[in-house]
Amino acid sequence: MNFMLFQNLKMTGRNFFDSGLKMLSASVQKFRLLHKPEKGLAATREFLEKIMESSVDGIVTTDLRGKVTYINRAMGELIQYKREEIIGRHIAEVYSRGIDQARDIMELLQKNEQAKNYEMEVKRRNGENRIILNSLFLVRDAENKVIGTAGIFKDITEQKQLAAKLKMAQLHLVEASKLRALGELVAGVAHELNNPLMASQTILHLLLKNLREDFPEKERLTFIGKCNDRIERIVEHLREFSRQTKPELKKIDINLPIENALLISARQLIDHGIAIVRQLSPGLPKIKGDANQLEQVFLNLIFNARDAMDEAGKVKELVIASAYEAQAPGPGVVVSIKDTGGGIPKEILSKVFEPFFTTKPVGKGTGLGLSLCFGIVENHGGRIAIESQPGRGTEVKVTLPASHSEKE
Amino acid sequence: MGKNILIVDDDEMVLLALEELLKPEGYHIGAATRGAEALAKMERQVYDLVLIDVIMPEMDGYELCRRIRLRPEYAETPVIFLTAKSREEDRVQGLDAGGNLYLSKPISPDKLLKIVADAVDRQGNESGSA
Repeated sequence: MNFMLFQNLKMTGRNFFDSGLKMLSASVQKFRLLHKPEKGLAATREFLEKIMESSVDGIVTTDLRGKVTYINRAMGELIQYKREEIIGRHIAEVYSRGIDQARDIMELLQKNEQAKNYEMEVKRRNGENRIILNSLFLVRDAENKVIGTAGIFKDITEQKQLAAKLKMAQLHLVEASKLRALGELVAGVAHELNNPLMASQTILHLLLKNLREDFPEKERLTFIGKCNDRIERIVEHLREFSRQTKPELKKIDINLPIENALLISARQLIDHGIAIVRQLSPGLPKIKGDANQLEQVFLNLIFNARDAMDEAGKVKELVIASAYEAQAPGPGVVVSIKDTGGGIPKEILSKVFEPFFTTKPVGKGTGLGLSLCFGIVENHGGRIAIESQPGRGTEVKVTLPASHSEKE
Repeated sequence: MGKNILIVDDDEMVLLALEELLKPEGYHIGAATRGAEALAKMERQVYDLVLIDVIMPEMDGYELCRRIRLRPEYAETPVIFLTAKSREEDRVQGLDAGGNLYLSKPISPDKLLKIVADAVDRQGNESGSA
């Protein structure tokens, strides 16, 4: 038995040795070939080119003036140009930032000879920008004179998008859980306030009823009544906010709650000099939603738009649109509400969904409107996003998942 | 003759205010801060209307209402919930427990007076015609 094993081992060892020997001799032959003057040069070139062509990352070389002297296959695919189209043209033509980008890179290379993990964007033939992680270096000749530059371009667009999406999702989660905790707190506070508020209103009502017309302090008592009314409105708003129960999901056309919200608000918008532009697509796939809650969302957004335009708008126009979008994060119906108000400054854009955050004057807003919208949309499995250009206006987009992919 | 109304609320501020509101209208008011106390009062005295808060320690308003309905003499007596809980499911729960009406706090005093008057009158008419 032992002998057999030994034999096997020996065989294996010998086989191994044999193939190793073959590989070695092949390498030696290649080495010899490479070192034959003319033929060798061609072979080296072919060898290197094969490596360059097989690379999954884009490789580019330029001359000293920045004209492209070589691109590999991957680079061609990355920028979507054929090799012969781009060779001889300035590399800045494929940089999204154009010549400024080329200057920045040159400056960097002159200082450091090379640049590692340099992030930038290139522009495809169709204008699409791709995010690139770049390694760049100067190319020198035998006399060590700089003759050009070379760069290895790694397309990281997808990673970047994924990372951004992940971050968004995380923020969304944090926001949602904060909101739930707050909802419970607010419900408790509202509940506790209601009893003394009701007692106060009742007693005040009795006082006022039994008062003689000429009682000198009547006005002051009436004022207390007004304070009570305001507290009541705030409490009601708080309760509305905390009452974010599970929506009663039914298959509905998204245009229904939009139309209902417009029905309630149209008169007011017109009184405020606001033109309403409807772009509601007919025959959209149904969504699973609570028509009342969604109406509340759209009404909130419409009134926010109205307030924004009251403050700043010269041209007051509210564009309300609905459409189907098949793209990620999944097929859904998108409602867009766009105003021509003053926009939201960048530094507060991230705060607008935070409960109690408001820019409205005291007594006009409790800062719960957008939080409420966020909560409702969240409960529908949807997303709400705001884009704003200060001075030009704001667009709020509500995306809700389509209940079936009825439309492809 | 003045009708008897029992108010059950663990918040004494509310009890006091409601008493002040209803007394001048000629009602006789009984007040209780706990369900057990209310049940005890109802044994000694027959009430024409019961106003109940929902959230109370020991026995909540729904439970109190169910126990009231177990007594034959209170099978038809109007029971009104007056509470800060105002969600639809709370409302349903209140009606399931045998309540006739479910009102949310705060409620305007005039509205409450009208509702109480209507409920007591209807009760009076029904028992009169029966």
